[in-house]
Order: sequence, then C-alpha cells, then structure tokens
Amino acid sequence: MNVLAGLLLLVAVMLATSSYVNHLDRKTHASVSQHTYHQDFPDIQVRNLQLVHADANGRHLYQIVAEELRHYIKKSTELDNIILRATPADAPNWYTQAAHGWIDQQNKLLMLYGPVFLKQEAGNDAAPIETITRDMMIDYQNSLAYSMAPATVLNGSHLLSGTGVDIQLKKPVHVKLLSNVSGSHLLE
Amino acid sequence: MRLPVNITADSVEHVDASATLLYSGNVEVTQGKEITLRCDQLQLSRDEQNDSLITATGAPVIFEQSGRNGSSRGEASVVTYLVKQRLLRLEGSPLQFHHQDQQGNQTSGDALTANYDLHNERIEMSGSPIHIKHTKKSDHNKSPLTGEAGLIEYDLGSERLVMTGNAIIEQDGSKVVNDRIIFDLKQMNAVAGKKASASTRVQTTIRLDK
Repeated sequence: MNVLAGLLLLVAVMLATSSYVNHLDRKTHASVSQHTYHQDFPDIQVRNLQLVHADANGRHLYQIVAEELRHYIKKSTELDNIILRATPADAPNWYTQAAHGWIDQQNKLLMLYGPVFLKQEAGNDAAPIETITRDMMIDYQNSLAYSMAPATVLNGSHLLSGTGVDIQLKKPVHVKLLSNVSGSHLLE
Repeated sequence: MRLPVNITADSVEHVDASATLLYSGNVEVTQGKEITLRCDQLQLSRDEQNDSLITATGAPVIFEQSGRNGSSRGEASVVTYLVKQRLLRLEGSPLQFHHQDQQGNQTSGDALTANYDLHNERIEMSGSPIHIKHTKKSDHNKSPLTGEAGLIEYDLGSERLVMTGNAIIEQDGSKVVNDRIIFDLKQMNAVAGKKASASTRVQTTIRLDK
C-alpha cells in the first residue's frame, strides 16, 4: 500500500511539475494575449494512461490503466474508466475497475464513482472474493475499501448481498456487509 | 436435490483466514420449506471432513421443521446443523422440543441435548432426565401421557418412543417403570422390559386405553 501511495505521489509530483511548467508557459503567453488561466480546467490531460510500478527486480507491484486522466491545479485528479491491479508481495492480489476515479490532493484516498468491481484473490486454491458495488472509497495507506451503497459479494458457492461494505485488502482478507444482508449458499 | 441455504441478517462478515462466514443480528435461515432457524448469531464453516457446518447461537435459537410426518418446533441455546448428514444437534439448558403429527397429535419434551436426524425424521434426546408429554387430539377426556428417561429415541415415522435409563410412563393413574420402555404412540401400547439376558428376560405389556 505504501508503494501505491508512493506511486500516486510520484504521479502527483510529475503532474504538478508539468503543471508548473505549463503554468509558466501560459503566463508568458498571457503577457502577450492577456489570457487568464482558469483553475476549473485541467492543466494536465492524458488519454490512454498506463502506469506500472515495479520493484527492483522488475516485478510489477501496481498497474493503473485509465482511459483519461485530468489533473487540476490545487485540486484533485480525475480518471475515467480506471483499472487498478495490485500484486503486492506481502498481501493477496486484488483488482478493481470503475467508471470514474478521483484521487484527493493529498494522494491518500482513491474514490471510485459509479459501478465498482473489486476482486480479491484468496489464495490456497480458495475461490476469489468478488464485490460489486457503487461509489467505493479506497484508503490505500490503510489497505481498506468501503462503500455505503448496496453491495453484492460472490465467493465460490456463497452469494451475499447487503447495504454498505467494509473490505480489508491486506491479510487476512476480511469483507463485512453492514446492514440488511441476505445470503444464498449451496452447501455440501 | 440439494437446496440452497438462504440466510437474512443485520450484518455478515467473511473472514478469509478461517473461510468462515459470521452472520449477526436477527438471523433467519431457511432451506427450502423444510427448515427454518432463527438466532442471534450464525457461523457458517467446515468441519474436519470439510463438510459444511452451520452453528447457530442465541437466547434462544428457534428451529422449525416440517417433513413427511408433521412439523416440529424447538428452542435451544446452540443448534449445529451438519448439512451433508442433514443432522441438527441441539443443546440447551434445557432445550424444548415440540412435534405435531399429521393427525394433530402433539408430543413435547425438554432435554439437555438432542440429535435430530432430518433424513430419517428421528430424534434422540438425552438429559437428566428428559421429560416428555404426548397429547392425542382425539382423547379429550384423558390426561396427557407423561414420561421421563435418561435417553429417548423418538421415531416420528413409526411414532415409537424408545426410553432408556429409569424410564417412566404415566397416564390416568397407570404407571410403567423400567430401565427400558418402548412405547407405541399410535397404539398407545407400552412394552417394558428389564435389561437382561434372553433366558432371564421378563417383559410386561400394559395396554393403555386409546
């Protein structure tokens, strides 16, 4: 998780530097054309973003794929059609996909808007845990994901649904549906 | 056909380390129309043979079962359901058990533990002692049949009670006391015998009026 935080911080620094250069350029240009830069428009816009973070041995730790990234000065970063694949060495692999993503200015939280799919590998030949919900917050420093929206969890022959979900992304993997839950289990 | 087990509750936790699901608050479990369990907490896990195990705890756990031979209802503090074997293990201090057959005749009892074989519709109760009461729907003028024993096996299909360990059966002044009593609830016929070798076997049959 710290590596992901570092990666996102790196992205932010890169974007900030680029933004600053862009801003200087605009200032120079503004002195000629009297153009004023508006903060509600992104200073950085990237299409078909692919970011991979690997360790010293070349092992992938995190991969972020997004159809579009928009960065705003003194604001957050927005992503469309985001896929985040985590393969940390010290925790089970997980994968999330959402229509829209938002990274706060402090790079501590990733908010996934709209429908969200999260898959966690359970390991030891156990069935993965798949969660479908909406509007999920990922606190990657604390390895937590949570949503207050209705959620469905599929784990092998277990199908659970409820409202509100808390997920621990590190070991031991832990999923809690918070209210009005129902489960269907095909048991042997 | 294997029927899914459906559960509703206030919340549920999946703990991957133990591959356990833990339901909490107003838990209700159903499997088809046959079994219903209501409890405060329910754990879904696997036993040593990797078979599914449902453990319900509460104050009390209420179970309802309907089968070929009528319907049963009971209260216990812990109910364990071995899904593959279709066996309910009930524990309580005491647990309450109530059965109504297709004719409306009712049998109730209290015990410390009970194993309820849902497949064969047979319940085995143990306690110190178990108290049991049977009321025939058609017998308005008679008092209920009462009894007690250390161990009672009740076959819901044959409506036969096998009572062992200081067994007593009583109705309207008639009383049978023995180590072992087999009582036919259909015929209201008690067969009582001492545990002895075949040569020394002594049996007493007392017919209680229907």
